[in-house]
Amino acid sequence: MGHRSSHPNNLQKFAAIVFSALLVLPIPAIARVPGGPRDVGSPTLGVSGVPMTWNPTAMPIHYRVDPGPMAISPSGTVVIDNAAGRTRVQNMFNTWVNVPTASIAFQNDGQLLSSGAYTGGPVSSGGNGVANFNALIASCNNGEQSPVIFDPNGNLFSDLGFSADIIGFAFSCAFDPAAGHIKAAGLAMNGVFQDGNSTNNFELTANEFNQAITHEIGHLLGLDHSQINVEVLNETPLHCNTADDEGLPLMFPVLICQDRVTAGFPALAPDDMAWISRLYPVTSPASGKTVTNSAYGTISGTVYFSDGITAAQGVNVIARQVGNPRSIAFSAVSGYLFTGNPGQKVTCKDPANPTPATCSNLGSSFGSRTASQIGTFDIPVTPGTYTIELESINANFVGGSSVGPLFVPNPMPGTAPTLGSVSVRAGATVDVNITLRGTPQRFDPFESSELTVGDELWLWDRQERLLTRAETR
Amino acid sequence: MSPSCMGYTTTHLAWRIILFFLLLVSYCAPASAQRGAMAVPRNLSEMVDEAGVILRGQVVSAKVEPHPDFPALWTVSVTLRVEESLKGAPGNAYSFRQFIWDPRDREDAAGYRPGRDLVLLLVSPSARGLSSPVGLEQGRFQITSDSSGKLYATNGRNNIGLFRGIAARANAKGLSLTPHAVALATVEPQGPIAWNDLRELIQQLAGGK
Repeated sequence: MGHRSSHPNNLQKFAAIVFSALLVLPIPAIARVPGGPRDVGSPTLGVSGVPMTWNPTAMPIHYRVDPGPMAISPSGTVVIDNAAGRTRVQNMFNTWVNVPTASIAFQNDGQLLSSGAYTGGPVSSGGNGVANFNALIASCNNGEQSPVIFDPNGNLFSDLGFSADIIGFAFSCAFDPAAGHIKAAGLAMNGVFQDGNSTNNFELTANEFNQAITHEIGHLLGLDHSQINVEVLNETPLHCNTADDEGLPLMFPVLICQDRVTAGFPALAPDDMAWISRLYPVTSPASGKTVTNSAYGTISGTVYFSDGITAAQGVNVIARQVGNPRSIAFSAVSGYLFTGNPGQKVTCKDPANPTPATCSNLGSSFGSRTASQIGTFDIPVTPGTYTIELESINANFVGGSSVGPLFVPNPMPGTAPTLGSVSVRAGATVDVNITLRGTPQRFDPFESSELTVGDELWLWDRQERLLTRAETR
Repeated sequence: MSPSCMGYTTTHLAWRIILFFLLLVSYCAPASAQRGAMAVPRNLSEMVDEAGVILRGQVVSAKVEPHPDFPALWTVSVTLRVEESLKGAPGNAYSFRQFIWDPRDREDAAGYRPGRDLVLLLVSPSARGLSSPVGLEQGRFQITSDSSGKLYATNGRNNIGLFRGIAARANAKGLSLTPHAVALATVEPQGPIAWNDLRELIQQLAGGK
């Protein structure tokens, strides 16, 4: 122990050197937080380690809608008028509202409020689209309104510098800095995909378009991407295996399979429903609603490197229901509450008073810095028996497509152990800590890891190594 | 939590932080993209057609700032030193301004880091001076090299679907791809592809040699 206690100062110096080196090395861009919730509170924004959502006690979520048409043809004919567009939007919101175990409500407060340069009327009309959009973003940033914007012919998207393939996007505007609740957000959709013209531009079916925008609404509500049945990436696009499609989350990062509704499935997959229920739980009986705790249990734990101590972040953990493994599955990414970019203050000019101006990397505004959360996961599941799978986040899912806390996924270290099945009851939590096999060694494999595990395991581990060494000679 | 976590010490914390950062550093990052938008998949031919400028270059600077005329719109202003020009006339240095709407993109300049070697298929600047890679992460390739110095390109979707249907589309446009280019286009990539091969395809799809 004396030997160990002499180390921290040296270690801290080494850590400082590593941190300093990071300033000149090309580290991957990192910032995205969770696979489940999209944003998690940090020490400087919201409540550290708590997913950021709209205030569940202040429902409904108020939004306002562009008064213009949703889609017009290249010749100028209105294809989807404003009333039909508003209905479409409301129905897409209702896809989330209608989850029986989630407590969400939306309210259309009418047309967009005039603000600054935006004096009313269709946002993208008259060549003022970007000026109007800018004014509405400012209004949204001030928490005055959450705008839903129609770009009926793609002109606004084009003026924003987008290529013709962008279907829509959601944006967060304002957070309550103390509680971490979303105060205002917005949604923009490109009507070109619904203009009835597939000759000169892209066209999607109504169900495909709805699925894309409903996915964006999931982000608006605070959901991140999920990875389940990732094998669909190797299947024929738009003709995925039926069971794979059934279990494929709406919040899967890319459009790849036939849309869920046309395939005969609910718009939301089990994983989508579980996570929205986790973020917006029904806590007391209400008409048409089911108390979340009476319908879901939880599988929780931590993923560790082979030493059983060092937590592994960014591993996708999937619970597959026995009997329906492809169609009923739930997931979380280890370390989903911890930041992907903790930053550092060691090299700040004034480390005691770090500011963005005097530090090159203060880290993300989002995500916990609590070390014990680096490898934790919590998977909401319906009652039943599950097998647990571990896998890497697919290397394709980078940046805007990322899943979980890491902006660029790390391959899962080592291999997953064979895990037995677990049974989960409603309202119960089952702990499953998982130690990966064959991971790279820690820096201190000859001391702390072995000093902090039980003697039996240490002796077993040592014996195992000696046997392995003997076998390889 | 695991009982082993109860043995947590300052020593462990330091090592864990070091390990965490070294793992991040050791992992070579493909090009990143913007968050929170849904885009349809594009193949290389479609992206080449829509791009006004195609270049390979090194990021010299990436500054996150409000749009000069529309201050509520955050943008990243990127300047690259142009190594190769494949479409358009970007000159020796090329700058563009990209709209970013996600708070996290403001924190990491949407992944544009000085020194990064990128291939960008960019839409022509709009009347408002904004541009972006075609298909966002799809039109942005990170260049990496192997131990022999051979260059590879990977876009934000790991090149999946990049070559799907491009030979047929080239035919329909009356472009005559060389046998070598046709052979390249028939192999569905998943992961890095040789930059020489990608350059050849882009040049031919752009109507060049």
